[in-house]
Amino acid sequence: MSVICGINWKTPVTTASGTFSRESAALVDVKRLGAVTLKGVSCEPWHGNPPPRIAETYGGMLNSVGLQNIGADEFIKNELPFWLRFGTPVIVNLAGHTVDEYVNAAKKFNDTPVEMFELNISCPNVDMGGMAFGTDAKTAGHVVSEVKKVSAKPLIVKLSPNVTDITEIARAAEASGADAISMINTILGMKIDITKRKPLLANTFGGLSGPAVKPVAVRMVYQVSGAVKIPVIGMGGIINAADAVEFFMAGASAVAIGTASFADPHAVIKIIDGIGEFLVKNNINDIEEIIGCSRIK
Amino acid sequence: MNIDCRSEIFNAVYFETKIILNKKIAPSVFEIKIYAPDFFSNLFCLKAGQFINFYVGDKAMLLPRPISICEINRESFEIRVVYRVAGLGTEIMSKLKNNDKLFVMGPLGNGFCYLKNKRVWIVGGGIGTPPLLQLAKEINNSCVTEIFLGFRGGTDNPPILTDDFKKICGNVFVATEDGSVGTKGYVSDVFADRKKPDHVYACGPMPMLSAVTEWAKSNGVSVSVSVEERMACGYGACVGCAVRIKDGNTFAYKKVCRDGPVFNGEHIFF
Repeated sequence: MSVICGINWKTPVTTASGTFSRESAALVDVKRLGAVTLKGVSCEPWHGNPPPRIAETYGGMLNSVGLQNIGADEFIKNELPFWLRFGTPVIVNLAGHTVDEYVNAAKKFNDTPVEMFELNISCPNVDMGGMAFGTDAKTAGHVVSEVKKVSAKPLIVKLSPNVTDITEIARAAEASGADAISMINTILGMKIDITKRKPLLANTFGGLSGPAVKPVAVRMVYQVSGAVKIPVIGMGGIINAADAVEFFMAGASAVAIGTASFADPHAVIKIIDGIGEFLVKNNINDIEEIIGCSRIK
Repeated sequence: MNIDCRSEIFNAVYFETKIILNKKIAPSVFEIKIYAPDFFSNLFCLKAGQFINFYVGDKAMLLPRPISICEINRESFEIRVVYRVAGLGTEIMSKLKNNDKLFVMGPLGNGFCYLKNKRVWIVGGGIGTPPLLQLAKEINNSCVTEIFLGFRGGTDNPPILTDDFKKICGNVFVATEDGSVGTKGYVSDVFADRKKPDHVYACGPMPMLSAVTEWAKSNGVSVSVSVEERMACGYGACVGCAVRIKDGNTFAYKKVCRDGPVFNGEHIFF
């Protein structure tokens, strides 16, 4: 068992936002997850970006979905009850174009039984807001402190890797009241359709995820977990238990599985089982023993 | 007439299956048969127009290849799909041999509604024709069916599956753009002067679906179209495969994988 911001997770593994739906819950036993992180929700419904939104790339994929969602009110009414019946902690990913929109989204979920918030200041696919908040320490600090003021739940802040110094943003988030950091969101990328001589994605750019980004994610988790005292939830390209163990050793207190589920819908359960086997095989009683163990002192 | 077959039911299963046939049937076009008893647990949900995810198993290519069901054999629990080699993933698929194993997930998406006692047209274009074969098998006995199949023609893009369609239905019309087989021109050139049906089913490239829908609208005929879009998961989680659908005075992006791939053609912004 892991305790993240005072919330009990039966295993230090969750889903990455935007990769786990009701259909996933038919393919995976949600009760086995440490927590279930849901797709980004904003105050009002968002249309998302025009298609094509997906491009496969070597060892990964680009997406430019743009946080299409039904809005907080409908989500609370029609979507949330489905997720609350498993007894697994629910993390709601909050999206916004402005500080007020983030604050209002948090307010809407304060009275629901969700256990944690994940503040999405790192989506690369929305024009206003999203990553714009997560790539400047001052702006990031401001939105985190405003949401923290109203938030009735532990606040995880999800960081963008598309920055010069991610520790600076992480420190600003911590100083502004973040209870945990999750990272990394996708890396801004692009693919060109060489037959059409045009960008493949209608939005030109998209966010890269999958094993291709893993070394970048591990490096950043290592840097950030050395720079802040709050827990780090590590993600970015984990497709097996060995990948997850790397993140723990880099300093992550928990991990999230995203794109791997598209390649194998049972991936998250296989990874949970594989982490357990690794711990047994190496006589590790508590995962705490390996968290950050790779750090060169 | 209800042509909306969208279902909330999600009964896809993910399992390792066995290739029992993988054969080239035209330049860059292959057919695969898999033995898939797991798909047959719910007979009513395995329908023409649904699709299957094929997990190619190459570490550099994570995403499954979504391919529509071409034929369902309920006696032998076999599924036949016909696909075009369009990139590295389908190229790897094309090299799979009998008894090779690979993971699949399905059935995915909503199939076509099966009408009864109507006059219907089935209109297919290019690599969009395969899912219409099972549809033809399902409805030919209960509807007066005419089938129109269009291809680019020539040595690179010859007609496919036309003999399979002719085995099911006596009214199969073929058109090729270069006139190498059947009527020269588009399918719309063939069906334009025939007696109007009650309903049109169509699958093929977007410009064809757009033209067929326009024709249907201006002739007061309902139309179901099966569309495709780039997708990641194939089951509704990634929200990648968006199609623009009319929603009151505005629009909404619906998921091809979960809300489709079959839509009422009149609802689509082409």
